[in-house]
Parts: sequence; C-alpha cells; structure tokens
Amino acid sequence: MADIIDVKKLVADIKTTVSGIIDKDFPALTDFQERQLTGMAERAATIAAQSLAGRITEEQRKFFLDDLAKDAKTFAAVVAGLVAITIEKAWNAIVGVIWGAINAAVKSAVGAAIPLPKFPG
Amino acid sequence: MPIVSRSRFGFPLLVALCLALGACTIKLAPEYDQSIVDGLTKANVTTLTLFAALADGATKATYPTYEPKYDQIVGEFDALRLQAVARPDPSTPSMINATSEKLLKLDAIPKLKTPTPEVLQNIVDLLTQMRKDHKGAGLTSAAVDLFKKSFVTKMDQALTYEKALKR
Repeated sequence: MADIIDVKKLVADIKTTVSGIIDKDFPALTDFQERQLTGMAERAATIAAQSLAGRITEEQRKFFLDDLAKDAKTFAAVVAGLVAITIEKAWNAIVGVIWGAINAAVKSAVGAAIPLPKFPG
Repeated sequence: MPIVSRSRFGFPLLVALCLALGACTIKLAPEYDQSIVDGLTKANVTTLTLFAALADGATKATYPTYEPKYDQIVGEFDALRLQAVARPDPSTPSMINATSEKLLKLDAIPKLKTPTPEVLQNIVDLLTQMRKDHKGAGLTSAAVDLFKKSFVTKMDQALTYEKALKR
C-alpha cells in the first residue's frame, strides 16, 4: 500500500510555522510590556513628587492617580488582546499546514485539490 | 518513518478531515482597519504638537488661543472611538456553536472585548480634563508633563494593538 502522509515531516512543518510566529510576536509583546510598565511606574513617582512640591493641585493628583489605574486596566486588556492575536495566527497557520498535507495526499489520489474554505463573516 | 497508510477508509477519511479542518480556522480579534491607524497617527501628531506648545505651562488667559485646538483633538479622538466601537467584533469560532459551548462549559469564559474603544475614551477624558484645567486656572509645566506622559501611554496601547491587527 502506498503511504499518504509523512507524519514526522508534518510535525516538523507545524513546529517551524508556529516558531516563526512566536519568534516574531513575543519580542514585540515583551518590548510593549517593558515600555508600558516603566512608563506607569515613572508616572506614579512623578505624581507623588510633583504633588509634594506643590506643582499640581490635590484635585489633579487624584485625577492622575485614577487615570493611572485606568491605564493599568487597559494595559492588561491590550496584552490579552495581543496574545489572542498570536494564538489566532498560530492556530490558523497549523490548520493551514495540516490542510496542505492532507490536500497534497488527496490531490495525488484524485488529481485535484480541495480549496481551504474562507472563515465566514 | 511513521506513516499514514491507505486503506478503504483512508481516502474518505482524508476528505472528511479536510472539510472538518476548514471549519476550524478561528478569529479572535477584529479586522485590521487602516483608516483607524491613519486617524490615530494623525491625531497623535496634532496632540503632541499641542503638548510641545504648552510644555512650559500656560496661563488661564491663554486658553482662548488654544480652545479650537482642544476642540479639534477631542473631536478627532471621539470620532475614532466611535469608529472602533462600530467595527464588528469577531463572533464565536465556527467549530464551536452555542450548544457545544454549553456542553463544554465554555460559555463561562468571558469573551475578550477589543480594548481600543476604552483606550480612546480614556484619551477623550484626559484631554477634556486638561482643557478644563487650562480654562479654569491655567496649567503648570508639571501638570502638562503628566498629561503628556498619560497621553503617550494610552497612544502606545492604541497604536500597538491596532497595528498588531494587520495579520
């Protein structure tokens, strides 16, 4: 009987594809986190220092602290969103690789490939 | 090497797998929108230019000169917020319908909301407060610096997320 799919090669192809995505996205995410967390820490220190020095009012101090809390919340939401984008890319890339392998096998059997359906919506 | 051997069920199984996999692609984030990125970039430049002009602080008396600029940037960011709100959020992945979600208890997992509308609302609130302070008592250089730092944090969040949607 002829063999249709080389599973070892398929696994290697999936690993290469996923590594490519993660190697690209992970450093960008790390840089973003570093910028944001450093910026927020510096702001907290500046708010305290400027308030003590009398260069901002009590009302402004309260506003800036509440504002900082909001930024911490949206920072977490953005990080989660960026991770979701990476997961989506990796998942769909894996599906694409597997589809390609199966399609190659189907094509060799019947002489025609099956196109990957588009995601609806 | 490990192989998948052909049997009388092998070929139909392959076709069934193809069709099943086709339903398995997912979408966990909205579509990239170039006009939102362009709008954010433009509004960013305008706002940072305003911060540069106010870097040394500004008295209450100077407010009328800057009022049109405040109105412009608050309006621009509010318009971008509405654009982001109007953009469709991705639906549940096609391979998991509502019944399956319930059976697998996936309906308890909160769906991620796009962060951009909230970030832009925070920018509108920030600039509105800055305008209010300038009009009320003027702005010290320290206050302008803190408003700017806050703005930069938010713009970084919005631009980083929106640009990442281009995939």
